[in-house]
Amino acid sequence: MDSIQIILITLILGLVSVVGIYYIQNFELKSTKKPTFLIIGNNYSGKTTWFMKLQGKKKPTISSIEANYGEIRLPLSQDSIAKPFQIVDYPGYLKYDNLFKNLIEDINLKGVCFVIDSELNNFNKNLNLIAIKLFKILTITETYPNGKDFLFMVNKSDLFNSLPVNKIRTLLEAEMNKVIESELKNNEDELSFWHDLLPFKFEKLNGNMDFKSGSVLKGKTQDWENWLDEIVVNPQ
Amino acid sequence: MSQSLIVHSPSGEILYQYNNKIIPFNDLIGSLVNETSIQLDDNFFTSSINQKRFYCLKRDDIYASLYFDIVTTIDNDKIKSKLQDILKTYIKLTEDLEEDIDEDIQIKIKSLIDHQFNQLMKLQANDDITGNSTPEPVTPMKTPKKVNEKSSGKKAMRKWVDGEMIDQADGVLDFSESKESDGVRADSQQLKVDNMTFKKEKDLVLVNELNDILGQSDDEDDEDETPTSGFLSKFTSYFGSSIDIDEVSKKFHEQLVNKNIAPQTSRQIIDRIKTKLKGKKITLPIFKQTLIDELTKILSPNISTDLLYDIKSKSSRSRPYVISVVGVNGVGKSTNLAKLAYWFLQNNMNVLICACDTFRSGAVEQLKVHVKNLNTLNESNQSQAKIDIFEKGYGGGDHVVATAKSAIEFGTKNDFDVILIDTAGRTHSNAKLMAPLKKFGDAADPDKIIMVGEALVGTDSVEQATNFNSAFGNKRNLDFFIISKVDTVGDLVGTMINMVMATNVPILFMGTGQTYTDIKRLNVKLIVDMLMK
Repeated sequence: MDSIQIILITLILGLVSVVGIYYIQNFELKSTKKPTFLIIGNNYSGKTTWFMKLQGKKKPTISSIEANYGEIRLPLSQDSIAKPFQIVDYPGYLKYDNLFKNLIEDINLKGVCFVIDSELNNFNKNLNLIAIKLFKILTITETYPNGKDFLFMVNKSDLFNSLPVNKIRTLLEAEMNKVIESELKNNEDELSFWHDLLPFKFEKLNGNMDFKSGSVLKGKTQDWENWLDEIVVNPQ
Repeated sequence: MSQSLIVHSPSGEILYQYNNKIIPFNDLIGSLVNETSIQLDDNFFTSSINQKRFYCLKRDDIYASLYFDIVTTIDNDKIKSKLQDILKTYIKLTEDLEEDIDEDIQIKIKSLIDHQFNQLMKLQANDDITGNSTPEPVTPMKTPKKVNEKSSGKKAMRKWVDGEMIDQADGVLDFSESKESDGVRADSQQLKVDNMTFKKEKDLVLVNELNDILGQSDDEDDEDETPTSGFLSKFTSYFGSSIDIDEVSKKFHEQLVNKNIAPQTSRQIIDRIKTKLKGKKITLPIFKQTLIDELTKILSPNISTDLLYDIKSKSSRSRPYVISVVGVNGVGKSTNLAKLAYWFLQNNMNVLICACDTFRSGAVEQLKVHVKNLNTLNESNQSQAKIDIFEKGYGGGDHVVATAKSAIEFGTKNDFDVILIDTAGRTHSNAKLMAPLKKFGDAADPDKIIMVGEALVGTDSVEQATNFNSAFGNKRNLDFFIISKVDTVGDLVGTMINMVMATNVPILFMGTGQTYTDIKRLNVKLIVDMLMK
């Protein structure tokens, strides 16, 4: 009898501990992965200013050295049903681009705000870098089922020589084609899914890609705020 | 004369600005991130960009940065101590406050820091006039702390409205009190007041207030790292919660050195991680993750490495795109040049190879064989692109420069897109051999200078990279590295870290075998995984 009792007790203890560990791990995963909106883009496109604006601050900013973490309540239009969401403003430096993956694994990504400087000269100068950055982040987000939703914030549209949204979309599409072709020559396994997306069109991606113009500095951010609300209220 | 000062957080929020000239600071941040700035001391950096000299001091996750014209010079130490004081002023005034800093405090902060910055700039003006002949009036910022601590309690008594003190009598009283309590300090204060020709009582009070703040004991100095010995900590460390940083540093240092990273480079990396983790709770996974992040950051290029894009964007010029390859003897310059040529051919570009190794016998013939092989390959691929060799035989002295120049001329006439110039291998420590590189660089003016380094070499790689990087004069640096023979070292790929850390030059390709296609773009994640294995 004694040996049977011992065996039974061992079994029960084992089962309890396994279940316990499972729950603890699951609980931890849920509690640490906050629902998050990521703000990315190239240098001086206006990420931090937008980040500040979302938090209701209006301050001059300079280039960020580290990622910015903040919390806002969404949807913005209806505070009664609002829940807290994390927003992360990620610096535009190329040096940090290979660290994206760690960040995205740590959070529960709801959507990406990709800020683009629409001023003619800046846009043309940075077009290649914008496309490369977009390529890198899409390589990560498109591996998720249904992808992730992107908002392309065509910023600084108040400037007289800013490019219109449609123009930016087509230029970026064309540039993405070039980037994808040259990247695919490197024959890396994790990039192979890009073959199916050539010739590149934003419609082919799993996530929804929205292009909306506005200006953080001039306060023309209604379209962008609506986008955030839309994602929060109507999740996929 | 342009000059400015800001206090900002790492996230880019400007907490204080001296004037509205804040755009130049973006350059400083860029150099901080890309690690091109010079570290003078712990958390104290300097950098010279666009005729401006920047200084930046970090403390408790707050940065104070200033810049002024490069022509003026102030002692580094003076700037450091002033920046320290400024940060201290800011931290002291805001530490008790919640999120919102009300206007009064803001005005107070502004006036106090403005005053300090003006002092510094006046110092500099004095410097210029007297030509450093007279010693500077010693600013009493670092007065004995014991005495000052007594008077610090008075700070709360004053009331400020719009930068002016209401309670004048109190302020005067305060001043005399501090005079009584510390004669030396008051004297020096008087001295400074004379020097700076402060006449207004308001400014006097300002100085007084400042001294109160700065006199308070510095938290930074008192920072005691409470030892976490004892039974409980041992117990928790068993579960991986808290660890001895020195022990772990040593362990990882050894691992990095075993991976062929030079000991001094490895120490530098570990030190960076230590400063980063200072004051935080450290566990083994956190330490490891920080190290992985740091290595990733080091290897990540700070500029676009899309060479084809760069060539295409410059194709409207009359001149072809000139790339020259340099390196130590026997690292595989010609082989990697041929691999590059094949890569360009595959991308439909006309390539001209220029044999500028006019020194070693057989060097020209070696390239000829490569070109012949590539031609055969190219024809079998039915590609439209062409490849050719340009050579003028062997010879010393100016022959190299002459060959390069006529190659560029030839290439321009015959519609080549890219000219690849092979150079003679040279020992990096031989000044006689390195000197002609500058002449060559000036004459040929290559769009990109690529250094080939082999993965096999160990600690010497630091010196190789540094010497070649500085060989082209102070206006020109290397643009990229190609690391050859990566397939021969297994996971001992530390050479890459050595070379990139020493020069901040990104790696373009890795040579991974004997055939023309064995040239791979750098995969940062893969390399970091190898190093951490």
